[in-house]
Amino acid sequence: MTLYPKINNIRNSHLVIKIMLGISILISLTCIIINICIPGNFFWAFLVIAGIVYTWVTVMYSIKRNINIASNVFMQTILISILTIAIDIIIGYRGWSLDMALPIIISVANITLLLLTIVSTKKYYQYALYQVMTFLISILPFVLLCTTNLIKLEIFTILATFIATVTLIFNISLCGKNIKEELIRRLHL
Amino acid sequence: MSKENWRRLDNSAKIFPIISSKKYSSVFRLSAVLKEKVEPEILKQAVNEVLKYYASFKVKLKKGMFWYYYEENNKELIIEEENNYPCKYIDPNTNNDYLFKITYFNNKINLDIFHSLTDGNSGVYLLREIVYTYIEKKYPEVFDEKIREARKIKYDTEDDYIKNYNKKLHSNSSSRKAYILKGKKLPLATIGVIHENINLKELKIVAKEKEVTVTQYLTATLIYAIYTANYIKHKGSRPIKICIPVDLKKYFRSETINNFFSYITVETNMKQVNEFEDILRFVKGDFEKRLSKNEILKTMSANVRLGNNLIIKMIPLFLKSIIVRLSYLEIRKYTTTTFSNIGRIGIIGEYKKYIEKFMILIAPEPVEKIKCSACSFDNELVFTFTSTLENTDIEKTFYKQIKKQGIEISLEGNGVHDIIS
Repeated sequence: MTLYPKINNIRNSHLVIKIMLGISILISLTCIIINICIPGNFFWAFLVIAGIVYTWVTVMYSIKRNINIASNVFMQTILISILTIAIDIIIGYRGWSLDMALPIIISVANITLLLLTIVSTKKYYQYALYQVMTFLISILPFVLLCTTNLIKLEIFTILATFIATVTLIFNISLCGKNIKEELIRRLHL
Repeated sequence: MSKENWRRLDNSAKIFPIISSKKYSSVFRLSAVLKEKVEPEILKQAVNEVLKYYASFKVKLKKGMFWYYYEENNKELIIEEENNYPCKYIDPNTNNDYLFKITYFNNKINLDIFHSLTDGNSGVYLLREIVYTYIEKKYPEVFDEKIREARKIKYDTEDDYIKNYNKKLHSNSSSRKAYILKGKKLPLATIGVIHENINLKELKIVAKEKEVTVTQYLTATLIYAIYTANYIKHKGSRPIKICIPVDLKKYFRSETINNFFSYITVETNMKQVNEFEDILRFVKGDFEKRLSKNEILKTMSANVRLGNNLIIKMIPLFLKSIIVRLSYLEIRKYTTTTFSNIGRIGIIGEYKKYIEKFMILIAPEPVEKIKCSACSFDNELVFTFTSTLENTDIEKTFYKQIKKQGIEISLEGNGVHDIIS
């Protein structure tokens, strides 16, 4: 009776990912070449590349962190924000990303996290750290508003900051003890 | 596990999640070969029952701001037929977040453990318990409640490093780099396994004649095999350094199920000693010098002090990971190989007749291309080589050297190497 199974070949579980990565690089290069050969008003190939980069970061992050929805919400908030700012810059900066897109993204993220906390009564301690982190990035536009002239349309940013603050207060009142416990375990020395 | 369902990693455990990867899996395997084919359904029942008592293994690894930590894991444990090389990196994403794996093949039950979770000696507790429970479930007519109750063991999850270390002691470890084994490597991700089954009674007689312990005798044989089969051929100049893990439970009172081991490094200057008898004498002397409680305490304390340093504690985990990984590129060059002998695996009489043998395997690495381990059961000691080298000269020389002393020895492998010579 043999002690070990015969391993015929090395299993390559990442073959699909490698193929997709090859396709992504191919598409990006094709777009850049076409964009250079047929000159237009702006370098649209960057839009495609930004979209591909966004998709890859999302896919890889989701594969690695397929458990915690709150971490995905947090990650998406950052990624979509970067993507929209990138699009705004690529097509000729007009400021709509900071004025409107960012506050809307932040508000949606905060409301989503609030809903997650309410619906999943037993798991909310897992979301605590991401709630605090999402709040911290939510107040960044407000900081920009107070310190720079980058944001021209103030109302959306003020509203987003208000929603983020109310959500955090609501979350703390709902599961403050859990947020504290989660922070203790995550920050233990 | 505390009432908050999380716990800190012990002092040794902290390092493993940081340095581990597919190349450096930090996984060891304990296997039990039974007399009959393993029945998967009974094994599943046995494992699930055992895990109720060994809840400290039902954890997942989480990242904190400064350190990793364990959190309770309530997912189902995946138990499947062995389909890969032993001691492979345990990817929590494909293992329901568990840090250990249970597989079976023919008569064999395997327990692959990520070293962060526990050490070899404590791992034996879990495997032994699984084997006991499996046998009881397979033969319920033989094993009644009284027998089962008699063998329950007590354990805790204390960090016994912290309890026992001495703040004032300093280690005087060697700063010389070691000879690194050379040779053509096996194809990517392949691990070759060779078990050398040695007659324990005969080995003990020979060791006694030479006035050394079994571990000292095997270590000397290993150094001799490395010297004659690899070192001379590749014109080595650095010392052959063998890292020998030491079970601290032999030195300190401890009931922890966590890691509680230290190590000694036997450093042989091959320019001074190269005949087997000389190596044996040198190893004996070096073991006696390094295995004193004070020396062990020095090494342990130095490691604990490092992990307990406030400045190190305050460095965020991502930064700590970069620093530790970079330092480990260098640290790894200070050992030729590791030889871990977990000794005799004691089994209660009634259960013995269902068990053929036990084996322990350690994952080889890009620098330590061969790792060695041993354990014994009944009258057989299984000395195992796990290797990423194509050439098996070291294994063959080891075999011949043991045989030369008139000790009965046989070989078994996982089919990667052609070992029948």
